Amino acid sequence: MKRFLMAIGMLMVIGSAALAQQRTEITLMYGLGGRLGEIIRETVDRFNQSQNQVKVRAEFANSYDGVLQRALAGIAAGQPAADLLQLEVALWPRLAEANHLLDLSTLPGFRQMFDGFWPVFRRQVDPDGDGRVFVSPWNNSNPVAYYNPELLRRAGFDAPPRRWTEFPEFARKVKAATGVPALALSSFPWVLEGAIFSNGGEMVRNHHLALNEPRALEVINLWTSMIREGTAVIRARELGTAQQDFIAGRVAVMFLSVASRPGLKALAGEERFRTQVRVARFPYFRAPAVPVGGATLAIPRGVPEERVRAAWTFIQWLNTPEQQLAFIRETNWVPIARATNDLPAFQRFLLSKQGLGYGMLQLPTARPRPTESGYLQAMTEINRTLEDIWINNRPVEASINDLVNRTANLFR
Amino acid sequence: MEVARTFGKARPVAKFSGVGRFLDVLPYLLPALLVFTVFEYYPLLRVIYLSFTDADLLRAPNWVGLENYQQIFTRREFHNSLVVTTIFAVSVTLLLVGLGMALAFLMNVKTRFQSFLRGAIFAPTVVSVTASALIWLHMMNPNGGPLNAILQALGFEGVRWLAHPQTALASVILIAVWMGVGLSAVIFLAGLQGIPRELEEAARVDGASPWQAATRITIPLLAPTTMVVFFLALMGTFRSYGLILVLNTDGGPVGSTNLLGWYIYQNAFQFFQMGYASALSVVLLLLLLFLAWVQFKATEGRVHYQ
Repeated sequence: MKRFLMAIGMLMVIGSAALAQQRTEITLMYGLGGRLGEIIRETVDRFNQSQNQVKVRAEFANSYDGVLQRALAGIAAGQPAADLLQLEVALWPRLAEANHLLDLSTLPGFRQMFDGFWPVFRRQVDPDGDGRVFVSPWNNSNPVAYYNPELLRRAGFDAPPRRWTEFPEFARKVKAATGVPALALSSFPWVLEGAIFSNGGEMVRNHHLALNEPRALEVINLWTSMIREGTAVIRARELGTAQQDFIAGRVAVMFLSVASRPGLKALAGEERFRTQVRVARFPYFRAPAVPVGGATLAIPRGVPEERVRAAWTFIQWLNTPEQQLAFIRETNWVPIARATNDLPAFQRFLLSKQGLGYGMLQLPTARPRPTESGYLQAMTEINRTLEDIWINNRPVEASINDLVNRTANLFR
Repeated sequence: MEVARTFGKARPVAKFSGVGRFLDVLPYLLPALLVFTVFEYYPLLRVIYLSFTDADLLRAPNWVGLENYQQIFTRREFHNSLVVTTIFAVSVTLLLVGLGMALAFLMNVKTRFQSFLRGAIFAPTVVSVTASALIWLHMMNPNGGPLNAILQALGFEGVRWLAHPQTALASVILIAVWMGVGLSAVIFLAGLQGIPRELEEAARVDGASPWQAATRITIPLLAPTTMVVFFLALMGTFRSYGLILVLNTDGGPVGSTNLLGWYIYQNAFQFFQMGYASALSVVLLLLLLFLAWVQFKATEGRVHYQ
């Protein structure tokens, strides 16, 4: 009997090992740490438990830049760094342009999945509309206004204005009533993109930065005037401390991703968050517009076919409405697939006042960020120029003209 | 037999003379040479080659001649980076030499707390760059960080240490000095302990005060150690970039912490400009070689006290 049991046991071990060998193992390289990293690992675990064909191993690369560096090292070595890469929206175009990413449009079931995306995400992953798609949208969001209702109430407001042109007056009143700056503005161009798009301007036009065009200058001038008046402050490189400032009531309004809400909540604590944080739609100049930010998933060229199929299975699973909802519940990212919106559970989630409602309401007016490969470096230059204008009190037009001229060669 | 023959002719054992002798020792050097060739010389030659190309890590590089070098000298960011790096390197080096020497004197004094003092001064050296950056990010946090708390307790306004061009570089210098001063102090301590005590005692017998003995006897005799610390620090600081990466200043604000090492990293791995970054690396290499040459020249004529 003892031998029989041992034999059965051995068979089970060998059998399970054989089964395990049948699973195709792939690596997902991701760049988000902290709680978001944990959520990604939990999602991967859920996928691994949901089926027996594919096993995904999640590998953390420290940051989006870290994913890019490992991808570049893989390209240099002639061996993909991973089977799936989480690439920030500004990073993938250059890799796709150099033919290092697999065209996903050739994979089975692509068209159905692609057609189910919100239009902004279809434009994001196929900006030139040629039908070739090198990435699949994954974690995406758009900016909203977070405000402190108590500070606004002291100045006689219930919410921040809807239009940017009303902000200078609003900011003066808030500063006068509370003593704290009304706005925290960032020189990182994501929020600026939204404001310029909403004014009918562009960040890049005809292979140049278009920040010296009147519509863009109007935005920069308006922001600059508030900073110089002291009614707005610049929080350029210290997002963490900017959020601390906001939670501590040292600034009344700040513009962050709708997906920043869980982080803000963790920082503030349940009670303080409930009383001191409200969300409003992103303001606009002429017509509402927001940029979408976040990251995409890409399969590098050179991944063996079997692992491509496995990676594609994982991407398709992530894009099912049920999985999107599970992901959104934790992260507050906006859904990629429109079908998610049809889930009753998702509608209940929207009504639960988790703050995602504004992110959803803004999706129809959302625009992809510029995908020109030169924009990646241009963003650093925009950042530096805005800091120079705001911190060193440089003249706006001359500095912006200089920026446009010195970045021209990046878009050749 | 070879050994016997060599000794028979009374030739110095370690002296190289001619190809034959080189071939004799080559098998012993080969493993080390191989390692150096693969991991040092090949990458170095590769970087020099890439500096003459438009390499972007994505496509096969094309030869562009001196274009990258011409760009270096016309780009404003490079000039800014060179100035920032020089300020950083000179400040950190001088502070490491000055503070390191002062702390070494302190560590050399025989007291009940000598062991504790030595451990405490050396401790930051063993802390990783990441941990050091995290410690200082907390210390310099504008919202309730200890440094601002002290300033506010003294009636001053809080400072956004890493967010303002006027304080960002000074903050990075402070952190770099905190991280490096333990090692320089230990090197100075070793130097101090190598100085014969009789010299200082003789000076004291002749009526010199402790200050005079230190400035006229001990510090001049520490000159070789000072040179070593000075040039090690100078060359180390010129290559710094990790601190900027972990402090997340991104070279800013307004380029105020844009050290050359960071500038190279950013161009290579964020902007896909490996050719330009390679040219920058070659320029940095030449700069460091020049500093090494100055060090050799400065130290070769020194009088030692043995």
